Amino acid sequence: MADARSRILERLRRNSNTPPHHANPVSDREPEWQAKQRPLGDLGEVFVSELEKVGSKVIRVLDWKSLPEAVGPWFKEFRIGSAMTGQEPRLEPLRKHLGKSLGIDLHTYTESLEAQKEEIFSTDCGITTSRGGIADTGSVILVPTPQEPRLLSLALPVHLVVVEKENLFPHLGAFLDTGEFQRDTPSNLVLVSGASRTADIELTLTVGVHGPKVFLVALVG
Amino acid sequence: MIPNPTQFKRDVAREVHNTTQRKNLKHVTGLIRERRNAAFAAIEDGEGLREIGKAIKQESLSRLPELLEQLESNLTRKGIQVHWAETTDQANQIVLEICRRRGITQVIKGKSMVSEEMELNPFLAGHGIEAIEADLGEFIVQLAEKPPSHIIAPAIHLNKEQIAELFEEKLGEPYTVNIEEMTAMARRVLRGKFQSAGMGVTGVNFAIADTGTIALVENEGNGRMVTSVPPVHVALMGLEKVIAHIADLPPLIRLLCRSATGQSISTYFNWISYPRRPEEKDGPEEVHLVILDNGRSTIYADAELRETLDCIRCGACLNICPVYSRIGGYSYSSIYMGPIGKILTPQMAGLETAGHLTGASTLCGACVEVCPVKIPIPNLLLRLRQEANQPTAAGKEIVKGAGSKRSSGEAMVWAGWKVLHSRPAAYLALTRLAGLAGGLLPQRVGPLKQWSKFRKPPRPAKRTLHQLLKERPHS
Repeated sequence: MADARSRILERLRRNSNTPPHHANPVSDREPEWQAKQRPLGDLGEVFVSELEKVGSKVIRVLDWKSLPEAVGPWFKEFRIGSAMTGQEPRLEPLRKHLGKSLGIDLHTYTESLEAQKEEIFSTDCGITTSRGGIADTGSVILVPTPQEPRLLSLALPVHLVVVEKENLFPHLGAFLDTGEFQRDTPSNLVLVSGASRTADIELTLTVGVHGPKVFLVALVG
Repeated sequence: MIPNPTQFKRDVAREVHNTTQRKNLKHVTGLIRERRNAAFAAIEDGEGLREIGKAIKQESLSRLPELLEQLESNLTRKGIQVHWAETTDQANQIVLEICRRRGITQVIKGKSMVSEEMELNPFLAGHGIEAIEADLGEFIVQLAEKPPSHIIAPAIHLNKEQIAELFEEKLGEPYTVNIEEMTAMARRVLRGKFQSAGMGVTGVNFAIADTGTIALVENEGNGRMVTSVPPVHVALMGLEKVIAHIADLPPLIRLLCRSATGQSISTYFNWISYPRRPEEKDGPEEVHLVILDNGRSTIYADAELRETLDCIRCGACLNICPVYSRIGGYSYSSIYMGPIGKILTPQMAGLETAGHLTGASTLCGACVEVCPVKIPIPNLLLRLRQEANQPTAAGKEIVKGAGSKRSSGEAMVWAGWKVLHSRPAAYLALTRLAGLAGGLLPQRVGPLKQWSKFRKPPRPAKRTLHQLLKERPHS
């Protein structure tokens, strides 16, 4: 369709008018607007309160060491019998605790989606770390990696994610201001702000349509 | 779907009396309006945010060809294949060719208005390929064998009882009006489809030129499934969806989610920039982007009408429109319904077939008040009415079908009106005559027939305003 391309661009070029043309994003030129959107107070508190507003469960833990004991009770509460992680070393102590102390059936995402499809779609809970969070919307920034692939946070009915407080940003613009997305763009980045939901029938909110039905967040720090 | 004036009148006459649908729409549009208003009230400078949204869209459009090329080159560099389609036929062919090359017989879809514009599902079905809608609302209307009746909430016109009957009939599920159970049924049916489909098809909310990123907004997780599980992902976008900078995404996402559903952000906001890379374990092996024109480059040519292309498809104008909530989405016989449809469809389909839609408005202006990018919809409606009625030399049309609604009778009436209003003596004589003999005017024939069909026929006052003023005692 090379012809379609040149014809479309030719029609547009005939009528495009260059001004107003700025090298910078529009939002950069509106510093006042950026400031107005900034949530006040402690980022951790804003983040937790926004997540809880949409029904997510959040627990705050001091450090990675206290994570296993802190999230353990969730496995009983949500009747989670099996869990899957990727190959993230920071989750090893949690895996040990789940396997040894709670008797959870543990799986690891080590092969490809095609090789492990059935296993992924039949496990109860996916556990992942995250790149951080956006406080003012209560969003977790997930950047799936070969160690922690996409489906861990998507195909299993429960998703437990660990967010470090030091990686909280006040708003999305502040995360983009770091320039890391622009420098080293990942294949996929997703902001997750709660459990999967729909309101397509009579605008009645129903949780757990295609993605996880339960969204558990452990905020470390 | 091809709009047609006769059909439109018939459908409107029927749907305004469809009390179930009116009740459903009143309830739901009212709720979304409340949520939208609350979401804007919760931020300090909603008006400033709308200004920024407008500026971003206008600036992106002013550099459209350059940005599309930049987008293409950045995506191509990263292994995403970019295709261009002038027409919906070409776009359908592109999708079909990918299916054929990979031997795909089942496609799973996220919500995409462009795919509706292409009528992709029936096209693929005609070639033996099954397309399944995964968004719950789309899944429901697909079971009903209908297109969406609303841009954001496709099954908004149906209540839970109607949907329960549909599930019972089409899925063989036991009748239940428990919405959670109904949602669970859809989850069960679609889980298998995500795993078996050879291709995932989605729309595009924003395409970002500087990083080469496709951004998708959704709440259900079906968008993530469709773009993560099948081996091929095809994203379909109208060419106006490109923006220059990723840094301009935050204000646009704030506007879109608040305007569409009253959320501060959707549950999932998905940024796709590469197909699966060698070391990665999931994600599609192939990602394609189809850039569709379908009349948009013609809309683009006119500086005023170009504002139509600012639209970010939030549906807020539908929810506030007094016409939409009374006649429903299907009466328009157009993929794009409500206020935005009334300016978009006539420009895409041509004024000769869809010009009547520009008249389906009270020009109340409520849509402008809520539009996140401040599209002056009533002004554009008036402009399109003018285009439809003014004499236009062949080949010089700004809008397809310009001049097609021009009637010589109406033109003569207005020529006479001009004469009367520029000659005081003639004006006075006629208004007096109307006062004396106006009551004798036949009400049920000629031009008054249409007018008096639903209204009280006008009766000119016996004495004109001029006369009354003249007789008023001077103070």
